[in-house]
Amino acid sequence: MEDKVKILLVDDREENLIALEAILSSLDQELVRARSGEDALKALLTDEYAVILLDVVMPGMDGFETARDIKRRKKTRDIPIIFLTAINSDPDYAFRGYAAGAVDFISKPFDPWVLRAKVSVFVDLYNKNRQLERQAVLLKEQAELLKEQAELLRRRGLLDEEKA
Amino acid sequence: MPRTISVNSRLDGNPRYSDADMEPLLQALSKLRDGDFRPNSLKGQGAIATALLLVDQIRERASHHHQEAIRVRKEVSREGRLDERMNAGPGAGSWAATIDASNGLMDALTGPTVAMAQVVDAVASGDLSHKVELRADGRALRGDMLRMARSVNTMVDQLDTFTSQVTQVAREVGTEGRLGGQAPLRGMSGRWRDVTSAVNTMAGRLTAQVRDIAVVTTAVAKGDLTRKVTVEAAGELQELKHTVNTMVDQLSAFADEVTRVAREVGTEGNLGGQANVRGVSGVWKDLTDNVNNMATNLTYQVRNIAQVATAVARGDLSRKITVDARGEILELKDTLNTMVDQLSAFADEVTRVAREVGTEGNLGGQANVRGVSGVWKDLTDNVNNMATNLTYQVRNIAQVTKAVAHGDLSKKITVNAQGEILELKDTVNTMVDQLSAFADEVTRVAREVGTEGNLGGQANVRGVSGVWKDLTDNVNNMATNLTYQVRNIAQVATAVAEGDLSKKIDVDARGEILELKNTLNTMVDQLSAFADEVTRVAREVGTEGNLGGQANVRGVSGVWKDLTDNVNGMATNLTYQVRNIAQVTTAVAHGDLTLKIDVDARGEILALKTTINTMVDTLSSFASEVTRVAREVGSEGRLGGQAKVEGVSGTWKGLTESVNELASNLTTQVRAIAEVASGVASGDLTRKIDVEARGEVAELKDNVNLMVANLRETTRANEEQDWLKTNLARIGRLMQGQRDLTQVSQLIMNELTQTVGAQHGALYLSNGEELVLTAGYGLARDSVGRVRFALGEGLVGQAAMERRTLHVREVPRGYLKIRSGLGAAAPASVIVMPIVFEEQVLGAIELAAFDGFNPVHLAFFDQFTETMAVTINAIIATTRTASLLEESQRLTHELQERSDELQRQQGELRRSNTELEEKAALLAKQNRAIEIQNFQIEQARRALEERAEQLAVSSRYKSEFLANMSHELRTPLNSLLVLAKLLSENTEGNLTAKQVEFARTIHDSGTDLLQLINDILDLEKVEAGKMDIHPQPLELAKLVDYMDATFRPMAADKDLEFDARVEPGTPATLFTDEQRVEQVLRNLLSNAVKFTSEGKTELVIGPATPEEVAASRLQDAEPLVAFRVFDTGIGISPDKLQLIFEAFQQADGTTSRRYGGTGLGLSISRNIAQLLNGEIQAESEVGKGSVFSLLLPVDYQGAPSDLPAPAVPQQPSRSVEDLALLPTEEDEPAEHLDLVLSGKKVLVVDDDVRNVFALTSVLEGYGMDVLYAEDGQAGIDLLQRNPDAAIVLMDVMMPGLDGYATTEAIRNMPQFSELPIIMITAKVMQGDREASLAAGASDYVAKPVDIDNLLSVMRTWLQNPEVG
Repeated sequence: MEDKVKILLVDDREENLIALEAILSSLDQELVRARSGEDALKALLTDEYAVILLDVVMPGMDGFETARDIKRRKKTRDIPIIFLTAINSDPDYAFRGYAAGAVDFISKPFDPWVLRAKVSVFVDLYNKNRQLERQAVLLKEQAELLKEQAELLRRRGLLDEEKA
Repeated sequence: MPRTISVNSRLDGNPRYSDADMEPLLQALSKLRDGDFRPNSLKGQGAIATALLLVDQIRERASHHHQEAIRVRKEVSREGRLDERMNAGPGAGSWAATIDASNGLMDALTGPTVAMAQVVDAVASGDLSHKVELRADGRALRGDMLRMARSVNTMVDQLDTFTSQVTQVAREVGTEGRLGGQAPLRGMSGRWRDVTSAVNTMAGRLTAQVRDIAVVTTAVAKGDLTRKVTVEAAGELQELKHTVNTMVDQLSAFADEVTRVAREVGTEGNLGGQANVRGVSGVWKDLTDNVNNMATNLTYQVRNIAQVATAVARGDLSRKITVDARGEILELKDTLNTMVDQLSAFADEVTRVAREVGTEGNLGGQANVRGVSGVWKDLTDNVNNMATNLTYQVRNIAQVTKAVAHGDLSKKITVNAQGEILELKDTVNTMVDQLSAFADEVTRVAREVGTEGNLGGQANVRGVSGVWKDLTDNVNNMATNLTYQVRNIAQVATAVAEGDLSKKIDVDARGEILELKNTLNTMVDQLSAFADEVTRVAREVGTEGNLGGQANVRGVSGVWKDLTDNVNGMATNLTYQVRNIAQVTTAVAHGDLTLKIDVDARGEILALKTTINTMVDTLSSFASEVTRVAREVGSEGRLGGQAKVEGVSGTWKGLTESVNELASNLTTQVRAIAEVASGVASGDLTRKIDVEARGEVAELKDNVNLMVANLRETTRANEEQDWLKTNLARIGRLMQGQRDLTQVSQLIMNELTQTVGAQHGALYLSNGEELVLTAGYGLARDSVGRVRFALGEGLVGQAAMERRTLHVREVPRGYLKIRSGLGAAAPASVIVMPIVFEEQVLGAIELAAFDGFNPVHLAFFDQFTETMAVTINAIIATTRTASLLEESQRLTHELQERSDELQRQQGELRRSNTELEEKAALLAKQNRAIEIQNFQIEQARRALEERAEQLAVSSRYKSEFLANMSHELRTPLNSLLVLAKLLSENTEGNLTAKQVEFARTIHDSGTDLLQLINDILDLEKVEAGKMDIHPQPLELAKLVDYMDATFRPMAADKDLEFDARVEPGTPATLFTDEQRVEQVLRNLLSNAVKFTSEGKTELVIGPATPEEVAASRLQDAEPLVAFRVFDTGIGISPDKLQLIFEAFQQADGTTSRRYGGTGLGLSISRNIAQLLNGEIQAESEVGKGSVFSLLLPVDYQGAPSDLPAPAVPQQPSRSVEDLALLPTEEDEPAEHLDLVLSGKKVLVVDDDVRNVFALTSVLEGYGMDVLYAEDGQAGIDLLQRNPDAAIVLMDVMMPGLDGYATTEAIRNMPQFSELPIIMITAKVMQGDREASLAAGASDYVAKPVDIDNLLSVMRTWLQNPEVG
């Protein structure tokens, strides 16, 4: 019933991207690769994504910077970002990750099942959100309609009273 | 099984068989003939048997043929398998040929059938494009087959035609709505024709009905409610027809009513009308009600709006619509209110501008109405424009008129104007032209009249009228007047020039001419006065001879003054010359012939001067001749000389002769006189002249005689004078060189007394008060120095006081006696003389003599006392100078002594200075030594610092290396682990148990490796001081719960007992880093579990005493808490107890083989314990077990001082220049409502994605729709797909097609020729802007982009694309 949603995978290492694709392919969603923070931004300029898996340590623009840029843009601000990092033992990293607006911070090596579950939650959320948006639009339209009719009724009532 | 029997072999020619014998054979043959192919069991003998056998073989073959035929028939007919064929039988020859023929027949039959079947299949499935091939196996079909195939093909064709026709009709009618379509019946026959006809009929009828309904509904839709559906219809269409007709009726009624109301309300303006539709219900009623409602509301609202609009129309902008409205009316209301507001603002503003510009004359004012748009903005702009234009035009006109006013007629109004202003402009320009022509003409006249003197010229300005004509006339008038006046003046001036000063200018004039007239008249008056005065002077000087007279003309100036001065000068000169001549002539008259007239003269005076001078010369030569004679006769004694003056005549000749006569007379007389004179000359002064003479000569004779007598007297006086001079010189010479007063006094006394023949003498010198006897001549011995006289005392005092010589001539007897050894006598005369020098009495001299003093003596005294006074004064002065010199010498000597003393002291000072310098040098040397030492110390310190830094750096390098290394190690591990995990999950179930096991092993080993790397990293962190401590309150109960939950299952796995508890007396909470404490305890407990195979492990938390701890810093850090982990494991020998805390050490090298682990855990734990200000203790006994204790202070007080201070945490360096775009980078992009930018589509072409992202964030914040392309080509493509893009932001530097090229390419597309393109570039080179604009860019923004600037530029271009 829903179209496939897009999931952005950002990592500078080919093998990690392969691993991520292997883990997430069973979700049957469109997986988009980005090999750098810049690539990720580029992808975000053209398409809409349900969730972003973002590697922290990358040459050039690292994950925090990328996240900060993403969070700064209104259109992309609400896309959930899951940080992936090999450096798990530094609590500072997790802090920075969350400070940068991550919804989750997963240390490598991660449990494929856990990651898959988390991503699928965000995909569901995204779909729900979209549904909600559509319903909101519908509701708004209906509310408008109702309001108009209520107004008409009120007018008629007034007229009737006047007549009476 | 075919049996082959050789028939011939058994045949013999003899018939040996009976009918009976033949019976079976016949039976068999008859059965065969009857088609009974069942096998029989007939037997025969011999050839019969053989025959039977043959018959049986024939039957067998026939039977096979039969069975095959039946089988094939069954297969074909029942199963429909047309490809079934007969199998080859046992027979050969015709048998086989028969089978083949049968099969061939079937092939021939089924082949086309199958082909036809395929075609029919295709037809059945709707594919009408297939046809039966008219050739089979390379041969053309013939006969029935051909016909059949053609029939099928025809059928397919007809079907195709039919379906396509019907489809077309159906599509036209049904889908495309083109009613009236008919399928053509051509080529159709039979049922096809019927069907097509039916379809056509249906289509026709439907078309008619639908068209009718459509006509009606169209009419309804077009508002024509008079039409009704009349077409004949049945069934549902009939109902539809009725419904439509009813609807049309009701609509008609409703429409009438609504129309009425609408007409009343809308057209006739009768607000308040109500629709009254009867017999309607449902929606129509609602609709009617709604219409009524609407009418009411509208009425109310419209009335309100009308009021306001009326007010606005009347110029009252204070009213507002207050009625409650919604929707469009609300918008209308708001719009009207806004309109009123804006009108109000606009009106105010326009009024202001109009007042400023129109009334107050403040040009340049601009209306500033905010927030208006559309017509109002245009209106405001127009007003501003008008104001600007007016300002410009008025200023231009003002400029021109000002220029005209200043006399500059070269300016013209150039401003572009229209309408009245244009007229004004033309008028002013015409005016300027006419003025110019007029000015030229006037100038010409003025030049002719004024400069060239052509009086009588007239200005001739054509085509002027009104004032200009008047003006020209005036000028001409003026010229005429001027001409008249000037001519009058000229007459007067001519008269003046001709010397007639009686004329005056009597012309009637005004202004300057009047002044000129007055001036000229005044001039004439003054000239007159001047002439009078000059005439007077000339008369006085010339006629009356009163030299020195001066012309005195008052009130003149300029030339007249010069003239007067000249006349006066002339008079003066004349006077001077005449006086000079008079002087010379007077001198000549007085006998002075040396004078000549030297005055500078000219003309007649010069002739006079020359004549007089000649006269004087002649006189002179005459005089010199006479003088010569006189000299020869008179001076040289050459008597008998005659004057010989040549060239003289008249009086002068007579005179000469007289002179000569005189000379000869004189000669006689003079010779007589000469004799006497010779006698006188030879000293005989006794002779006298006795010659007879008369007149003058007689006088001469007397005179000579008198002269001789005088000579005698003079000779005696000369002798006296000689004596006086000689003595004066002598005594003066004696006094020279004398320095002692006493000696001089004595000398004077001696000499003076003797010289004048005195017998007594005394010399007194003044000492300032008294006169003291200093030297004497012939005085008593002791009187010198004793005898003193005050001034005025005695004769001496009196003479000194009066400064006068006192001469006592008759000395009374007894006054004084001059003594000698022979006798004594009183002198006859006493004289007292003061010695005075420059009014100062220096002394006095007293002399007494018997003979008295004659006048020569007295004259001598006078002169001598002066000389003596000078000498005495000189001596006194010399004496004083000497004493002063002596004093000076004394002082000099003293000075010399002082100087010596000073020099001595200076020497001492110098010596002490030298000592001090030596000491200072010593100090400096010491200082330098200290400095060198300091420098060395500094160097050593710096070297140490460098070493420390190097150490720190290398340590940091090591840490970084390890951190990076472990990250680098971990990263590949990561995918390895994930993929291994995925494999071990075996979700697809296609791996064997072994393979899953391998995958799991890979995963486990990887996990171990990862753990090891993590441990190394941890250890490294602790050692590098990078591990931060985050102390917080820690509840021990919770900790115990956590440990219990974690380790109880592990212990249970190994069948070990596990216990975790807190002893009483322990504080409930600690203040420390929970995570670290847990890490240590986890390590200790997992060790305990790992190294224990049976027994129990236990965690006991209890208080500890300072005595227990080893580290000194813990001993005074009360209170302490101890975490003790007991186990009953393998234990550690005491010598290994410390070793296990070293990194990578376990008690036994083999331990790790058995128990696994890296041996880093304890090392990390100990370091963490130290970080937490605690320590770890271990006690153990081999084989019995171990106790590991973690001792911690209850309250963590910060990092211990004896640990290496944590290195400065390294900030991850980040390049800052990338972020130049976002000065407030932590700010979220604000939501801005921007009327200009909002909703516009912007294309950003830039290869720097971060820049674009940041830019996009901002632009989207302004509600813009951002398209992004990362290079020029992509930008062009994207633009072609999105032609509604409103603006383009273009980076210049891009790979591939750069910004310039891209801009040019975009500009070459006609639809984007006006698209605003803004260049953004980091370049700040000169000429970039030009290059950008040359490439076709609309504007240019330099990097780093100032976002406000960019936005304002974008706004400018989006608001007003034609700017620039």
